[in-house]
Amino acid sequence: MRVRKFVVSVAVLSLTAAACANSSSTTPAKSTKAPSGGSTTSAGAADFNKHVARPGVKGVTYKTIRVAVITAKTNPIGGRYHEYIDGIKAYFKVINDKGGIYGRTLEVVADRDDFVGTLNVQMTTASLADDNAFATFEATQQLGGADMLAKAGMPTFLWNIPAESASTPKSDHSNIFGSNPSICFNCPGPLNQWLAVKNGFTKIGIIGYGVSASSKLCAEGQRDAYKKYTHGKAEVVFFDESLGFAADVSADVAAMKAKGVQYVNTCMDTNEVIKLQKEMKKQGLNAIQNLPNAYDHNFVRENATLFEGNFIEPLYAPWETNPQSPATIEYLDKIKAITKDPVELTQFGWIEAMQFVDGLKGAGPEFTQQKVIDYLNTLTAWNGQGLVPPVDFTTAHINPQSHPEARAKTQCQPIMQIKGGKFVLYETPADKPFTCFDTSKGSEQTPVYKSFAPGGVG
Amino acid sequence: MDNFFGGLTDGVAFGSVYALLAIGLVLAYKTSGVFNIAFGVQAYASGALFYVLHTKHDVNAFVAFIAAVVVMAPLLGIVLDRVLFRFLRGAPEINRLITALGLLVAIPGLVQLKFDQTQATSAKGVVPNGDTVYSWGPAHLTRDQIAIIVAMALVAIGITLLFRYSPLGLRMRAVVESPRMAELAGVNSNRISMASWMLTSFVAGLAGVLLPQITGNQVVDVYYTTLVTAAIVAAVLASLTSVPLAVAAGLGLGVVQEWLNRFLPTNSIVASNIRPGLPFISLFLVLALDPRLRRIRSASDPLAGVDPPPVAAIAATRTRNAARGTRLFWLIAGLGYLYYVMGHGNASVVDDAVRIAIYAILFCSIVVATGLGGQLPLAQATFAGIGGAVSSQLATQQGLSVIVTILIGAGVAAVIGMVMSLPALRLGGIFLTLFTFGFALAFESVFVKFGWVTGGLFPEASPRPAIGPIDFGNDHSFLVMCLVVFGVVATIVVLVRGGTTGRFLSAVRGSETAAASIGISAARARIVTFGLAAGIAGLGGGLLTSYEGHYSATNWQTFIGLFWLVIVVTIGPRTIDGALQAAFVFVLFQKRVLPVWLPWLLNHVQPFWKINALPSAVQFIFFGLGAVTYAKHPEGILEFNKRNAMGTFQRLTHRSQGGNDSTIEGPMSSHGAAAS
Amino acid sequence: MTLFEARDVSKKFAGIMALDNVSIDVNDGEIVGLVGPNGAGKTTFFNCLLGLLKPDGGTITFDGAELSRVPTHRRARIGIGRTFQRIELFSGMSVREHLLVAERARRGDGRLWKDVIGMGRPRPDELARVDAMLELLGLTAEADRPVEMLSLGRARVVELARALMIEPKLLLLDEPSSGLDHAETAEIAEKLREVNRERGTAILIVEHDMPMVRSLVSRVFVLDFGRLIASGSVDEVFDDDAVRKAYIGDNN
Repeated sequence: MRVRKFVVSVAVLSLTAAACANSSSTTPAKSTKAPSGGSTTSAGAADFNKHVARPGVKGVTYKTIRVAVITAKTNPIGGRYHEYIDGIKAYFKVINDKGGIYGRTLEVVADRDDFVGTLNVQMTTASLADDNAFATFEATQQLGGADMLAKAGMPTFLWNIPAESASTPKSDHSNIFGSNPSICFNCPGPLNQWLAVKNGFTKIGIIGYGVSASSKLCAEGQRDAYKKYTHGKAEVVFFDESLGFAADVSADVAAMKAKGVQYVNTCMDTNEVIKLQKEMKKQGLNAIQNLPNAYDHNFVRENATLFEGNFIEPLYAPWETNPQSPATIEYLDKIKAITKDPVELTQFGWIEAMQFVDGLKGAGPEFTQQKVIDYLNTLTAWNGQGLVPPVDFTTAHINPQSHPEARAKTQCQPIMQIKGGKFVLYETPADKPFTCFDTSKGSEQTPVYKSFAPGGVG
Repeated sequence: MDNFFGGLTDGVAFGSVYALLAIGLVLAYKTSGVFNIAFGVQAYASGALFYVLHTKHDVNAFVAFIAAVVVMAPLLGIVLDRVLFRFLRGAPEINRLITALGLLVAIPGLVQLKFDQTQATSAKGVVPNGDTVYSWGPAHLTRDQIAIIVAMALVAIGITLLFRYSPLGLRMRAVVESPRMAELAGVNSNRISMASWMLTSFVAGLAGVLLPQITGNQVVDVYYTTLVTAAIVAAVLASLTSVPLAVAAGLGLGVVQEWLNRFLPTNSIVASNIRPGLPFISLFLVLALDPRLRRIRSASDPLAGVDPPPVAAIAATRTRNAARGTRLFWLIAGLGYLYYVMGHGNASVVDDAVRIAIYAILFCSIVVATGLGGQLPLAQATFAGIGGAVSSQLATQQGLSVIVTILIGAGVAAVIGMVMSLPALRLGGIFLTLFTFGFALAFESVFVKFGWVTGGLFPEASPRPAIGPIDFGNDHSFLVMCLVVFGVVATIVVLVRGGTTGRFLSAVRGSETAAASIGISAARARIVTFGLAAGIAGLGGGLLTSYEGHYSATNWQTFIGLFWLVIVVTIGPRTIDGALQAAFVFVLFQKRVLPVWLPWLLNHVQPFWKINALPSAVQFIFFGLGAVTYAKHPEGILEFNKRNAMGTFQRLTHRSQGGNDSTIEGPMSSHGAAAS
Repeated sequence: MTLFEARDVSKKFAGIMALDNVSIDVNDGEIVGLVGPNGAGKTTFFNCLLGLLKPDGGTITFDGAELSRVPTHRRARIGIGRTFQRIELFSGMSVREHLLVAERARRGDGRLWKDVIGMGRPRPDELARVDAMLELLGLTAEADRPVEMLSLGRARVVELARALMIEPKLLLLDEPSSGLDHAETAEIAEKLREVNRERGTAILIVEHDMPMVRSLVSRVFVLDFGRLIASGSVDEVFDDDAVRKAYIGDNN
């Protein structure tokens, strides 16, 4: 029970959220503007070194631009959120080694532990009052301090899985940015359904936790998506949104086996997915799973036989593209200076740091917090030099749960399959890792393969 | 039929886990009189060592097993016995339970100083090729599952034989009943008690290395403790005494759960709400309904009267001057702090102060329940959450004034607390504690997710109160309001403590039988305590929800409530000072002490190592180990030291005047035995 | 007039008759003894009277009212006080606090709201009554000591004082002399006589100390193996052969 609840309401929330995040959509339709970090800026390259005094701008000294980082360092259930900071530091080092920006270096001045979201409000208050930071970076499962950050006009860059990041009727959160729009727990696009139909999976099983509201929403969303997108070609024959935490999954597997399930979608964390996979193997159910955020090369190597043939959708351009995009190459190279053991969250730290720097560049030498926010909110297709699918910040802050109409019409994601202990791009040309779907069409559509990297490959 | 047999085999496999853990709980209770709620984290310690050796460093499975289970686990048992539990024989059950709670909090902290569990995935098991499957028709078992069934059976048979036929088993039981009587009969009770702890820890270690294979190959403390919580049901069904019954109950629970999983529709509303909470709901129900539990009274040593009497309550030994001095000191310190906060503090300092005031209110509920009522409730955070949820729901959905909704929230929490105490009345000691625990977990796994309870995934913003022209949206005025509320709550607690209820409660705490003999109803005293404590918690919950702007379930996790209890018990569960100081510590430790103040201090006293922010685990070690001192200092360690300091001070001043203050003296050594 | 009557009380433990149709009565203002060897069922009988155990058969009436459905603490309220064989004091409280608690319990006004508005503090009349009791039992000097510091003999007196504070009509004493020396026993006996004389409190006493029983009681009941084997005046009973054989032995 020590941290049981973390699992119940927090970890599950995030991880399932992440699972659904795979399916949240973006707006490449509007991406007529060249979508890359360097070139989306309004200031000319020459201006980036221009030093202008910024009196009265919070968190900016003569020599530095200060940022605070809040992560769930103490996170007993497994997500390595603190590694987010490594990615930020690595990207800042790249910028600082080139002489910084506007004559200033970027400096991480605070590394706060929000204790799996429990202390988010407290830590946010403390950070706003004590850190004298220009921007805040967060990787936590809950963002209780969202309203405060909004009120303070604080440019905030996060691993965008907390439900609180979306604007509410009383609080506009357009200062909060992530590499994906505000999360939608129950409105997936047709990715899973397309995969199912394409592989001839007609019988589907869906499992979610009964203890977590978000997990239930996610499971229900998937179930509805099969009705909406497959036109009867694939049917959800097993649906369980009531799994207990640390419970035995053998009953579910037995039921799925009895019903001939071929494809399993879950809204659970990685740990439970392993359990499920082992149980499936035990009972001889040869169904394929779609794994939530398990883009972890060590993990897959260690469990190669267990997960053979399963699908997974990474949240950024995978390293397996050929050729790798310049952004991926740079990340894999530069991250070594900070950590020997980068994980998913490390790459997100890098991507968010890049987003922040793009915002600074766009704001110009006379930058303020508001200018950074305002500039980023004009972008309709920010994509981190092709590392992530484009995000439209004109709609990204809207709560997709209450405003489904604001959701984008196209959804792009890399689809990978595990083969021989390795991640292999599924159906995709090696240089175009993102599979893009039109969310208004069903599983019968032919997706478009894309790369968002500057050269159009990788 | 397939479901029937499949459910049976898988139920037996999963039930074996419950059974193994339940055997551990029963064994610990039988041989040491401790309800070892820390059994799961003991297992975790061995699991972690086995993981590091076998999975990480590729040490041979057999060698790793010997190291983790045969060497390390019993060693841990020896340490626990030598350092802690040996001194708790014959102590009131509640002291032993608090000690175990302290360990539950401290051990994972200690393990995690050296072990990064976030990376402990893909754990390899003891059995080679553990996922090899053996099938018989619809029944399938893996080697890992068979290993658990076999291990459980061997342990069960071994322990049953030990108790039935070996002199060691008999002696173990004798030592629990009465260490002195056993000594008189020529038994070396220290050695026997050590043997008991080695044995229990060995079972824990065994469970520790086997469990990851059925929980997704991760070595994470939460999985161990969750499973132990479920196993408590089986242990309670075995009345904490019978190993065969524990096995039967564990297996039965496993099988019934599997059948329910297979035969209940997975998409029905009832199933989806009951299933995840099933173990906790059954714990709640078993404790509420099992008639046998009424008869189990905690074993008390017939020769306990030989022990020195316990330390008298603080109020009895603090001299008037000492009390006045302490009060004056705190008053001046408090006013100084407030002056700083109000006049010079930035938003973060004000935030500290508001939280301290609110947590001091919340901790007053523990003062009422534990300090006054002598109970150990593990559901105070749940009651606070109920208060917060009711208050914010009424304010956002019905548009009532927040002042009113906070009071209604407190009232609802109080009523639920009283209603909940009704079935618990007949239970005493640990069963009452477990009952509150079951309630908290059941509430958490069933109700918290409902939108109508908490506002769901997107709770609406809960407003700040306003009275006429005073708007408490401003943090400074909100702080003043919280201080006023704290003042009122503290006054009420002091009045109740000094009034009839407090006297009755301390009489019941002293001797329930004697209290009944003069017409005091222990049942009524308990209802009142529960209601008052729950009401105060609900009040604090409403305030924090209004302050933070929305209901946040993370504030009210059962584990957080457990940590509150541990902190308050460590610092001083009997006084308002204690609650206030505990609030200071709770709020500031994680935010300022560990990341800033302590490293600063450490870097100034020694030049050798550069110390950065200390990990949060440190606070668990600190307070977990702090709580284990409760047995010796039930008034709280800080209170104890204050009193000692005062005593020294007074002795010095009196000596110089040639005086002698007899009231300050008293037996300082104590095993906390009741003076019966 | 009969104050208290137990009629045909039976109690079985795991097939063993601990009490077999035991009938005992106590009149107003009378001191009655209940004797018997260890294991005769005296304590079981006491616990039945107090509602700590539920008898399997028989009736118990007190002051004209049937008690079987009255919970333990209510029996105290209607006038049955008791002391314990193994001392049961409230650890952590002083002697005076023991009596204050009992006094408040007698008044029965333990409403929480009264505490909350500050009406829970001891009132002058309560303190006066407590002082009178301390005086009566000679406890004034130890009044403010924690009970843990008292000797066994003094602790028994405190128990007695506490029981008397609720002004019982009937006082049940469970081996009040156990663990005491002769002087202390004599002192307790003296106090009991005084209480009985001045307040008219009826007393039912379970006791091993025969001289004490003889000096105190007017009538005596003898239990053996759960059955009542004799009853009547002290002299009659102690001359009874069966009693001598079962209990007193031949050394009397």
